[in-house]
Amino acid sequence: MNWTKPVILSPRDFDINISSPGNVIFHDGYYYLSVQTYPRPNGEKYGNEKSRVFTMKSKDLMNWEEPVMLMVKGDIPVEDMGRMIDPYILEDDGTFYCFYKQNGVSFSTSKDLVNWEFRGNTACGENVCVLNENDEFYIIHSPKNGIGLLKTKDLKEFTDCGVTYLGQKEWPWAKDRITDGFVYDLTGTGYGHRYCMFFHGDDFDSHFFDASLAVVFFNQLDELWPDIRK
Amino acid sequence: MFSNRYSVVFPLSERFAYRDPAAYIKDGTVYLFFSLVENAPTGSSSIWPRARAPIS
Repeated sequence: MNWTKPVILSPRDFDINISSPGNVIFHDGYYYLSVQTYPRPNGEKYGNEKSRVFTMKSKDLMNWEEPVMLMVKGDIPVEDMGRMIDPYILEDDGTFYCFYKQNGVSFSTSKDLVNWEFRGNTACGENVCVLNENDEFYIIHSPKNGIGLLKTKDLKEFTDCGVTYLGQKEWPWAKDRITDGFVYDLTGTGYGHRYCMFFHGDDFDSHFFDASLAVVFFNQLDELWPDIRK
Repeated sequence: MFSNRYSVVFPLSERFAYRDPAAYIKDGTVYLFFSLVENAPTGSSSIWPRARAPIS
């Protein structure tokens, strides 16, 4: 794959620090990209208690409007929502599900991307990506190292399907952590595989954050998570 | 030995780390969104670029 030079889309602003794009969905004529704010006004390594989840919308995937906060806890004051990051939005049969990192992974639902109702949470790694196939949710998440998978039919009972480390043993650029898996269903796109998964690998030797972006292709979820058959 | 097809999209550089990928494919083009973290003397700053690639 030959990539264009990256284009910076958000301001370099420590007080807001838009980051961790979750995914894009198309709804009512707009593309919506879920993102987090991750304020580090004093040079902190991690975002402070004001970190929240947002969407930005676009007509063309190129020009994006200002971020709008997702009130995923319903009609409560912003300061009472708690720190939350890593949003991912899934549409299923007219209902939007927003998954985000708070007390493991939390999830809320909406019919319009504006009014949200908190639904629950479960123990989980961070930075989730969620597929909905065969009436089952597959939650791809990141524990301390590796990329894990949970499956659930009802967001109440969850089955742990293990963790994949891909080729970490052979990849010096990812020797310290494989993380943040983003699985995309390639059906109908012209690729020769069913899925790809973007992720980043950490090599902590020299910098504050040391990460490379990579992509792996596969055809069945059980190639990476054999325990999914259980 | 890991046998799946894979590629490194953006390798770590002296100046930047690349994190938190998300992708969307439309009309044969992959839109890749990610956090770009600058290794600055005061720490790092996250900014958010977009790169595109044709399907190949």
